[in-house]
Amino acid sequence: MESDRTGKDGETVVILLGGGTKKRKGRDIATAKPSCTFHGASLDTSPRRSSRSRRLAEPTRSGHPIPAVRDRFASRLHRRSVPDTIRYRFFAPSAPTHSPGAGVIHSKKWDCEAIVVIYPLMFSFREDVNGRGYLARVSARGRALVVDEGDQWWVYGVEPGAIAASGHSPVEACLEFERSFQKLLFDFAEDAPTFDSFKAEVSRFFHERDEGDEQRWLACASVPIGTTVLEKLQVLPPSPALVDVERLDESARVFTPAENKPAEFFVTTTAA
Amino acid sequence: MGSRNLVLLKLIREMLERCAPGHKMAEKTHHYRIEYAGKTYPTLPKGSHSDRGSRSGQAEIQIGHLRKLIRHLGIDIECAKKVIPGL
Repeated sequence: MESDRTGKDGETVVILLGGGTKKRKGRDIATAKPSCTFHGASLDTSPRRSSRSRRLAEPTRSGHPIPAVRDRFASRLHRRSVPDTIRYRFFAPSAPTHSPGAGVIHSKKWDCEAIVVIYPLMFSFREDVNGRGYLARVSARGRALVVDEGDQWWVYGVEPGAIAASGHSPVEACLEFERSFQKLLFDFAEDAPTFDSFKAEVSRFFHERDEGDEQRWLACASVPIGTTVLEKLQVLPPSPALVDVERLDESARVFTPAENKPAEFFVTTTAA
Repeated sequence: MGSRNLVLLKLIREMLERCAPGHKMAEKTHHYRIEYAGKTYPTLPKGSHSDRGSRSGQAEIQIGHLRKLIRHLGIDIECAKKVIPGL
């Protein structure tokens, strides 16, 4: 069976089925401050306390809406007899105390409580691209979500919406995201016969938002940020997404070192 | 199924055939480009088996990319799950 208690300094002890004990430093579910949605599940600030609803009829791998949750715990369930009472708590490996977007997900079918860490991200890229008879510079500032999905970190594009990348850490996922964006520009350059068609394609791609992820981004950005932030990333106020495509191979163009600009990523918040 | 799990390209094609009628899928140098219902997803990775895998459908793509594709293009998730149960 399973029980839990909260110890000193927010240390949570969760005793799992069969007597296994898991002890982790972290905040208690009750202190979570969620404000966003994840994979369609509703987030709720209140801890689950109803024992009646914790009853699980039959565990199935396909029954849970959170893929990482299914993957992590389904195999354990199948090895054991079906319990009459069950409750799980999941902690993101580095869930900060007041991280933007960290929240509790309640799933009625499985009765899980999960902290899913989601960060609203802004990025800034500048890429020079060789096209068919032209040299173009794409300067972009966009929005994305950084999500810890348990086994990997993912960066999901919001504006532009049609792009995603993963990595073992948030920074690795961000770098992969930039690489994917760069390769996409190379694909566009191969297909575009003229600079104008390249520019039109980049603009169309960039402003095609993912509306579902945009709702999550807005919700997460409105949560006040705490003292602990995503590794190595700054926290800055949000700014509007934009993309500019400039032709560089025109005769009067003067180049200066001031134009050199590395890729940047930062976590953003609209809350004071 | 975790976000790192892999899905065969031929399953993705089958899912698109069934759940996104009228879609267009084109292979580019670095990505697959998929158009459906007035939206475009031009960043589906080509997977882990290079050219041979692309032709045979044995290339493997992380399921997280597929989830993003489905969300962005507005494909019916229940229909997609019938082809790829791990979604």
